[in-house]
Amino acid sequence: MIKVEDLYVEFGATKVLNGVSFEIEQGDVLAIIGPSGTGKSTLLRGMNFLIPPKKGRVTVGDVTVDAERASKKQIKALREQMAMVYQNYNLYKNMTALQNVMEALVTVHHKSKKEAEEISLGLLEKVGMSDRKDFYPSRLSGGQQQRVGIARALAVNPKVILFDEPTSALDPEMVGDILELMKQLAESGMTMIVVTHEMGFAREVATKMIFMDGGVIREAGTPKEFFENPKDQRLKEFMSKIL
Amino acid sequence: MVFDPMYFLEMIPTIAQALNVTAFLSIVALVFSLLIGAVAAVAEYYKIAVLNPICRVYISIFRGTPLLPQLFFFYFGIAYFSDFVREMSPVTASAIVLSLNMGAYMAENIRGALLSVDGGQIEAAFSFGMSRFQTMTRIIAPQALRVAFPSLFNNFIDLIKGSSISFVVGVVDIMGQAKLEAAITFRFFEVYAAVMLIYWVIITLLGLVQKRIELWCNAAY
Repeated sequence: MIKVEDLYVEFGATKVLNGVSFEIEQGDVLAIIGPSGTGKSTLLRGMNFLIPPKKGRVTVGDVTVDAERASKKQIKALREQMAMVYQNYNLYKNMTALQNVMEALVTVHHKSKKEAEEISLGLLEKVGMSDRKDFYPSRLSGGQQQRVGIARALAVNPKVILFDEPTSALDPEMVGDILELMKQLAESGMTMIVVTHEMGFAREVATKMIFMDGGVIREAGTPKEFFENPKDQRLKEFMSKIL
Repeated sequence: MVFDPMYFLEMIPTIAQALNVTAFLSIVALVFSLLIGAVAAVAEYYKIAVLNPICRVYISIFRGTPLLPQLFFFYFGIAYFSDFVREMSPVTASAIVLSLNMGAYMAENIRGALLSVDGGQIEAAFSFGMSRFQTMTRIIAPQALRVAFPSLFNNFIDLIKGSSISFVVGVVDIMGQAKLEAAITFRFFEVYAAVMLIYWVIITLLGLVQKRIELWCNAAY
């Protein structure tokens, strides 16, 4: 259902992704792990063309975009299938929690304000933020902002949600809350791609895992394989350091 | 010749009669310089092809040369080749040159304010499929406005003061009116003191308004 084929991303002379391919099915939770600066976040941003890849193809549902022939329209169609949750939440600072969740529904998915508001209120309820729906992001804690960020991602009814280290900027006591919320999402059948350093989460929730190093996938497998029997030497080193 | 307080007091309303011209010039130029500034700033922010290089050259010329030669060049220089400019009223010509001049400064201030908006939000908006136009009007511009406001207001005050230069092409604004009065009575001291007083009062009052609005701007989201 979600397919990345031979993705290359370059920043000038620096090659960040050197031919990344993987495929996941609906309901999968893919955990992407690896040392810093190996292209994990770039992979997510390449998938939705926030960073246009040099080469390669991305398929989500029935939308396939080839990087070398990507039109604006295709990129928009692709982005409409996905949503992203960020390390720094990236909520729109000039909008309340509710407005943040409603925004793409109104501007991109052309829902009426009333319908967008109903959907958004339901999702804020789901993430436990109903009582703060009229707060601006500056008045919310990191954990609360991230809950709104997740509600905002859910609002557009995406085929997949991309999580870019969603707990890395949080206070330690908030991390568990957000991971629990993500676990609930996974259990409800949401397809998720999660760049994370939270090995406990990966082990418990992920259905597939990828280890990236130097802009390539060094190993792909199940959490069981990763934690019990890693094959790649770099992955073994990485796991021994992190566990 | 001694200071004549009666003449001075008499001059204030006399000169103030031309306030409508000063106000017209300032407000028309404010509207157009804001428009020009916003377009040039967005062109650079999004690195819009063709438009951005043109705007860069425009900004460089208008910030790199004084207002007075700009006005002379337009009103007398270009008039040499263009019937349109030759038949233009001095007020229109002054409004155009003031707009172009201040637009260049506003472009730089607006650009700085746009850049101050945290890029992560913009990335988020794009990732949901929002267009550059939607992202600009709904997320970037509302936040940038609060940042840009104090410097844009200062630009407006400069515009009001700068409009006084239009007397050189024959506009009878308050400065022009003062000049006419002085030419009759040769009482330069009273006349120019009166015109300065009028500018000073207007700008001080606007300064009070500015303070109020800045308070609102600082009470950010």
